Amino acid sequence: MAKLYVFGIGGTGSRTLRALTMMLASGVECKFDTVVPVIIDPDASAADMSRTVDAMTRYMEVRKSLDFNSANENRFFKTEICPIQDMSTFKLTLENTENVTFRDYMKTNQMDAPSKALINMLFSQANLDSDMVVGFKGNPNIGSVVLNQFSTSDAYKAFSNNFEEGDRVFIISSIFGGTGASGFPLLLKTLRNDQTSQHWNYIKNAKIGAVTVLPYFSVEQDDDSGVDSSTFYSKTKSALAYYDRNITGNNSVNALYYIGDSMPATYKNHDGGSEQRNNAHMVELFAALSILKFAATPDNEFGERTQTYEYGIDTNDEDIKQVIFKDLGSETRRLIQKPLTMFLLMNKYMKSSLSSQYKFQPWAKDCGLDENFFTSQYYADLVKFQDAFRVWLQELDDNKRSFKPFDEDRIIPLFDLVNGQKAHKIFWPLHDLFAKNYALMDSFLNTNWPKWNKTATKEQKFMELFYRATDKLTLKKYNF
Amino acid sequence: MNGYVNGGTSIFQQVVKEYLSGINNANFASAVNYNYINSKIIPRGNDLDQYITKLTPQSFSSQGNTATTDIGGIFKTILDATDNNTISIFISDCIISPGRNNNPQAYARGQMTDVRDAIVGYVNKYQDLACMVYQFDSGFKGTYYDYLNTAHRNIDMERPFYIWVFGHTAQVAMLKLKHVPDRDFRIAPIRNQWFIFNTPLAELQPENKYGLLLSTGAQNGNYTRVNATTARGIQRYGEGYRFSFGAYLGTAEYLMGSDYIEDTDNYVHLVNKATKQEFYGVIEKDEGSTSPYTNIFRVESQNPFQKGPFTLAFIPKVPKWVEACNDDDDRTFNGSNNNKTYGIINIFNGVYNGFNSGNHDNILAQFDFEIK
Amino acid sequence: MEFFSLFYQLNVYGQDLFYHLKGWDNGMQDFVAANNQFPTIWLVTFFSALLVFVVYYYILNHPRFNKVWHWLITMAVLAIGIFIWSRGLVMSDIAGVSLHPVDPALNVSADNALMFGVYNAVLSAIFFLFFSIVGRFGSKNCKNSPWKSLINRK
Repeated sequence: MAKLYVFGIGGTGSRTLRALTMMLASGVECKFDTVVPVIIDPDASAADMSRTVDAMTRYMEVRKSLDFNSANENRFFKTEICPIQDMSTFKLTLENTENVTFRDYMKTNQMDAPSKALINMLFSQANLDSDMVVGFKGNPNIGSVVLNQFSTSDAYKAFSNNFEEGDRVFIISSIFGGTGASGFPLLLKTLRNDQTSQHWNYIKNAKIGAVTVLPYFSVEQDDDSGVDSSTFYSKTKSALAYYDRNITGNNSVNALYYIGDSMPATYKNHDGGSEQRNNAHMVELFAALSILKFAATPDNEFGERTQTYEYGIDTNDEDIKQVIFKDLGSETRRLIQKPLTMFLLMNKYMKSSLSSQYKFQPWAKDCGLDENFFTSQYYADLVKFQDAFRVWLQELDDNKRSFKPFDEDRIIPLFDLVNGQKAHKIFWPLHDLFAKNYALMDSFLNTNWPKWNKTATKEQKFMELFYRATDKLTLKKYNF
Repeated sequence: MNGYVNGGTSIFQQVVKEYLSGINNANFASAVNYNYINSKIIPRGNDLDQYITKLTPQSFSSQGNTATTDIGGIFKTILDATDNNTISIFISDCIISPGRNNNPQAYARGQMTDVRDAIVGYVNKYQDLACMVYQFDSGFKGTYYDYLNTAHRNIDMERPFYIWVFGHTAQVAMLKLKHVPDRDFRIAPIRNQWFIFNTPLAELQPENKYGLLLSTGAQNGNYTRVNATTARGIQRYGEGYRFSFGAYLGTAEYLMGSDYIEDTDNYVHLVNKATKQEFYGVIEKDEGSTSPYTNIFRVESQNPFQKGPFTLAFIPKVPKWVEACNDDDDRTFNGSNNNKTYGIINIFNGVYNGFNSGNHDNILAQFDFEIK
Repeated sequence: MEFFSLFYQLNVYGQDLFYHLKGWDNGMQDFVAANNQFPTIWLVTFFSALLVFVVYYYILNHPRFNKVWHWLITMAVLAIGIFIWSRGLVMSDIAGVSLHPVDPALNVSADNALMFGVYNAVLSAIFFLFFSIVGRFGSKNCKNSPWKSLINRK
């Protein structure tokens, strides 16, 4: 049972992991059974990180009650997400960054004069005065110093102790930011060169992939903030040059995926903390796809040299403002179209119809899904997760460019839900001709499923019902 | 018999002539033989006129013994001469004459037995037997010997006489219905009559229909007619319980008369082979113009009818008029015993017993129902 | 033919009407099979109930029409339809405009016709109930209508 360790560095890392979590929850296929996310972000209270951690935690809670043996067809929440064994959190904590200025971190006051002078040359006063509790504010030069403590951290030790032959590593970072830009090369260097940790030899030879996210957003101009997006492109250029030598150039990653967007969105300028909360962007979603692609690539397809990939969508309109499924390439569509639709349909039913129907419908009565079940912790966790999913979808919609595959607030006709996709009418069996919208979902839920596992738990049965019903429904309605 | 023929022009002679010539006119018999009978049969040729004019006391006593008329013996003699192709007609006053017998009542009962035995003997031999009897009144002039054999002279009054007809049921029926029907007796009215036979009605008439009536209509009772022979849930009706059925008894009516058919004494409720109960109820004519029935039977009971089979049987009995015409003391003629015949009841009972002897009931019609 | 009239034995609608429908011919003083309307009446009632049952459970089979009161409404529609038809049949017999006019010897009134309509409506409801109990378990959306089915495949 090989594991895929995914390091998400900085804000982009968190947001990409969030997208990955949502996709795995909806049953998007991942060839690795277990994904171990590790978030590296010195900004302990970064809102993106906390949202991601919440989502992943809730994912685990829900998944705890599910069973994925061969008798069950359900793929919602199929992939296991868990923190590094022996660790209780997804975050890799950086020490000594709280309430400490960079100058103090480097202990400049203990340096001799020539060193001090060198420091003053390399770093601006502003840099030296910056409080690192919120990360490196788009300054990779700071990050590169602090993040050097990787290999000695407890988290890294735990990671290494549990790393097995056959496990893989994936690193998510942005090239234009502070934490990501510096952390990625450092982490990579540690992985490939460290020889002190327990399984360093496995790690050294493991397959490593990485996605580098190029600029896709800017922040509003704010002179008081330490973040200035006008520097994003220049920083990107210099970082790419560095990568050329030290990453792709020396083949230390097996696969490198690039993604960016030419029409950046503009976010409010917050330099970190609970206010650095950027809306989900489709670039992060596509970045997460690279993780899945990496997971799906068999070992023998990686060569000596780094393989590089770039992501594109399939449309002629360069200025396209709203991207829907039809605008994506066929491979992406094949991967995410059906699962996301299924998961959304399940969510919509749960929000709109379930409370009025579960007392009457055979699917609920036969599985014993009663009031106790729908007020249980499991159900509450599932609902909360799905709320987060909806929020995520909404953010993708609200962003620029907007990714709006669904008209998710549509009430009727329900099956006009998928933008750009016409729903087929179902003529047979005859009774499905008469049932519309949520009633049709009930009709599918009520199906007498073959190979139904009668001994499964209620939690499993509930998920199984909705998986099978939405599976069949999306097939009949959209031919997904 | 001399009292009836003395004088030569009695009603007796005229009625007899009317009947016998009617038979000749009908021309259905291949031969008609006339006889006198006392202790033995005395043939008198084939000429009716001769026969009638020679109906005199002298002719009677010319042969045989006229002193004792053993009716039982006569019945036997006559029946011995009867068969499936021969109808015998016996005309007599049918007075039982004990003679100088010590015990007239015992003699009378003995006569009853003899008549019975005569009938039984015939039936054993030929199976089918019909017995029809007409009663007429005729002037009687002469000496009358009462049951103690005391002579009463110079009697001049009306006395009954009887014409008995014996033979195969179908033929006697034809005689009565077609050849010489009742209305051909114009000289003197038929005072009473009786027709008894042992062929079930079902074999005589093409229609043997009977069936429960609907309980609609005020008088039929309160029950559900499941089908023609099954009644369910017989409810209270007035003071007791009742159900009604109709039956076609047309042929029986022609042969036996509607009064006789409507007499409830002629019907019994068969509980099982051994037990018979009186029939409680009424019998009426069915006035309905389209009804296939001739009579309506209303079966009644004080208590609820028992569930199970219910059978009503038509077993013709000695008619009531016989009892009324029976005289058991003919020593005086004081008016109350006018038109009565001494001991006649014994003859009729003998006939009846003959038809109902052994374990055999002379059931001419049976109505079976199921009560649920 | 006895089989069909068995269902109508409880003569709350009038003894005479029962006789009439069974084919009473006053001339024959007996029931005539050709006039027996019970087979027709029973068959129409039975197969109407069957049809409504099939429509409710298998053709319509609607997940929003599977609660107790929906089933009751369906049964009511069937019963009302049968009521109208049965009563109408007897009324036309009374009026003498049908193939089987009522014999004047029988006492059949409009009240009897009404009660017969009610009786037959109730009978149709009973048939519908019977079919519902016996045949509903194959209906994926309505199998728990009107009450929870014991057959559970999940």
